[in-house]
Amino acid sequence: MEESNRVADSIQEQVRQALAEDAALEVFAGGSKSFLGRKQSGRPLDVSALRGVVSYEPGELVLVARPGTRLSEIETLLDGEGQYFAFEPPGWGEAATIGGTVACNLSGPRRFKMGALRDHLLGIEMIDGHGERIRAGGKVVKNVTGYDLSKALAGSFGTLGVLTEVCLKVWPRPETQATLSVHGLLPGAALQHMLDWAARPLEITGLAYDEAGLVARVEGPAQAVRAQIETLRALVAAESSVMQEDESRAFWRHWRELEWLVPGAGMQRWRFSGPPTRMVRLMEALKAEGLQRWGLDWAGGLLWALLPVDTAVGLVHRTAARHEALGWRFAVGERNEEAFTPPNGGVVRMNQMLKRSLDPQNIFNPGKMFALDEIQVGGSGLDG
Amino acid sequence: MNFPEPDKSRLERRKDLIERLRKDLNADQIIDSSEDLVAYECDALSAYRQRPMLVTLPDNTAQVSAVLKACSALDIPIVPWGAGTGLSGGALPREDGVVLSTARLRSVLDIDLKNRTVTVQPGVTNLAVTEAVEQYGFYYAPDPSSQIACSIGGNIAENSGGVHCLKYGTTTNNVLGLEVVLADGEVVRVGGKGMDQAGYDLLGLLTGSEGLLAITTEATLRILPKPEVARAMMAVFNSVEGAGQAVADIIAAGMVPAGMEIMDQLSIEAVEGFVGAGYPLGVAALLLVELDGPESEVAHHIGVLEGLLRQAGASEIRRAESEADRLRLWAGRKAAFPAMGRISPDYYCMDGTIPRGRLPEVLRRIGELSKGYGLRVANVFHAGDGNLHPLILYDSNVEGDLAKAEGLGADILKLCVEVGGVLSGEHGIGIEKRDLMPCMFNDADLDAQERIKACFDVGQILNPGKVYPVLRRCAEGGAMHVHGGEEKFPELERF
Repeated sequence: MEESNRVADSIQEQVRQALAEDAALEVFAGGSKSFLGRKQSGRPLDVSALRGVVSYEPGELVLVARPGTRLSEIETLLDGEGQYFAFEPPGWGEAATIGGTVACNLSGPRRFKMGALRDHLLGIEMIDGHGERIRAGGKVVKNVTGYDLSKALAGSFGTLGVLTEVCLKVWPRPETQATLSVHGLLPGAALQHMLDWAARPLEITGLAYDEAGLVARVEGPAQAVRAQIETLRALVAAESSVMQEDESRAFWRHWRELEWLVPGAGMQRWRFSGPPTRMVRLMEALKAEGLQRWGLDWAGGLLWALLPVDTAVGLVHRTAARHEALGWRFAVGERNEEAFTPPNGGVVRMNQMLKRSLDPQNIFNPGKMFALDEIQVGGSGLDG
Repeated sequence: MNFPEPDKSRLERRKDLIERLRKDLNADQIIDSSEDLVAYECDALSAYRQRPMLVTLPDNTAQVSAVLKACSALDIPIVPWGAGTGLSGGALPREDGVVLSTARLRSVLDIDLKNRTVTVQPGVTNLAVTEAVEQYGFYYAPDPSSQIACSIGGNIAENSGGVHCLKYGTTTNNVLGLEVVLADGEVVRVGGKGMDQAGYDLLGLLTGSEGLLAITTEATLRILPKPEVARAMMAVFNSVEGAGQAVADIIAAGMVPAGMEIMDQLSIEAVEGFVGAGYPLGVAALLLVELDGPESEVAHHIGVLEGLLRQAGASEIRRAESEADRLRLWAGRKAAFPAMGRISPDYYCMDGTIPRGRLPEVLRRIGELSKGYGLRVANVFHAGDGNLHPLILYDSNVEGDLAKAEGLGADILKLCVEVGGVLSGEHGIGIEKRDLMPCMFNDADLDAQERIKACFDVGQILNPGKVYPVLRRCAEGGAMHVHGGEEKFPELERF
């Protein structure tokens, strides 16, 4: 405890120093997500020494940890108590930390059923751009006391403050799981199945598609899983097979970690999120930009894709925006165009209001999410 | 509670304001006669009343924007008003301010079953969202007790919960997109029908901001397939702690019931005399548990649940054998607040949340506080998520009783914070718990929150004076008072 307080004090001191010198900071912990967002040139602020689980009470469904704690360490701890993070965060590398996962609001295949990381974030402690250590939210599962600032920090990519503690809701892990795989469906038919199945009162917690076929994960007590898998199986004419327990778990880990979407030379990963009904059409439109391998996740609400590194980034974002989708470019090399599809002008303005209130000197990861500091107040984004 | 003196210069600008509003609004959209304004004196926290200088009833987003622009230009505060069912005084008017009612914004704009969303105007009631889609097998999950009357705009402002939120989340977990109007009248669309937002999580910041940052004019909500079955069970325990331990055992066993509610002896007796739900009398505590999901899953879990309840020492267990049975079990719990009218002239409702493991200690200390103040407290709570609703019984005709009730309420909320909990689980801070905020947050925490307000609402015209204290010290606070059963919405269930 004393050690972590000392580390937090030192981080606060570095923030105050940067404020005094008007110097930008590049905030990071494990560095496993450095490909997300625009490149940084600020003074490095490493928070990986601020680590450790502060408290974990399985009965309360609440875990408190410092940001530099490895995600894998927390997941092992939860597993020992038959619990897990229901938002199923991808790690994308062994160095993944809970702080980075919160900062990127990363959520896996269960997202469409169980919510995103932000839905499970109960409270935070952080150092803001005034050099103060502040708290928001709480450490109980239900709370409406004050603005829900925690959610604003989720997915802020370290641009609003330096997290020093996060409090997350944890969840009982379902008893068993199985995955139905349906082979040989065309994209349009696969999407129709996804939309239909997600609208049924079943415990489907994964619904994805790629060239190998459509996969649907069902979780719960063994006989309930069996019954639901049979219900789904009866709905398709195509050939199908079932992955049980360990095979199912291994498949979804492989899927979540994007081991199936490995960019070859000259290619890079993209992630597009939007209304499920639009995503196959978006995929078709991206063929003009050199789309290679792709897959659907989140019951159709997420499109994974490989596009050429030298693709016209602005064009891809505009194509995404036309389909009400948001693109994330997984950067490779030194290119530094927009990493995320920019919001409309009004949202840009509200983002600036929030940024100004918490980081008025713009010292935390400036321009990491968007070239916000380069956009004038009232200026417009792509669809603004 | 003392209210600030109305700003005289603002009152003098009332005529200018009406003139300006008349450019964009029809005469019948501006309420300015004092007899009509009476209806807007208070929300469901009726102990506090103030008559607004005007009420506006815009018909569309452009008119909402026009009202905000006019009020911004003339420095007149705006209090957003949905259905007026809030329990924390979040919609309490100001004498030198305008009420902006969403009563005329009542359209369901879009039902998109494939993307599983419904888009509505803010004046649409919570229940109407479910009613719009139930014929297709869907429903809207957040279910505050006032759902037949409360508005979606108000739900978003307060981040309303309900009895099913441990499993299905509160409002904030079920909003995908918003159209809002900022203090200066700018209309902004945030989010949409997808599961991510561009930029910061503004939906998260706006939901639960109690009308201080923007006014909602449209909301895109996530709808869910209606569970195949819902089954309820009632268990009797010889202590509230025993019932609390059963809840812990259920969660430890890996189950997440759709609802778990505990009532203590005083509540059970009041309720049974009020609605006749068939609850046993003379018992210390009742636990209601509801499971929902696919038939095959619920059939398995209900057996496990019964075993757990027995092991936890339940002296009697009753399964609802039919849908009518299930609704009857719930009818008692849902009548808990109004039932207090039978056993006390007045009651006062609290809303703290605690870590569930601290329940025995908190109950013991509430009991001690109750003795110390000489006022009875009936306990009902959302046991799954630790959200307590202690109901303090008092008589406002007895000199000093009201002040005692307020003191006891503040002590209970401070106790919740002391054990690691929070001031409000679902009713909001509003005016009611505003002065208790420093018990939970220090100056730096509150500065950060107020700076957000200052950046979004430079002129401080959006619901000023709510949520954040004027004087920052841990003070005495009030709560929901009901006198002689004269609730503002006596027909509403309250839980």
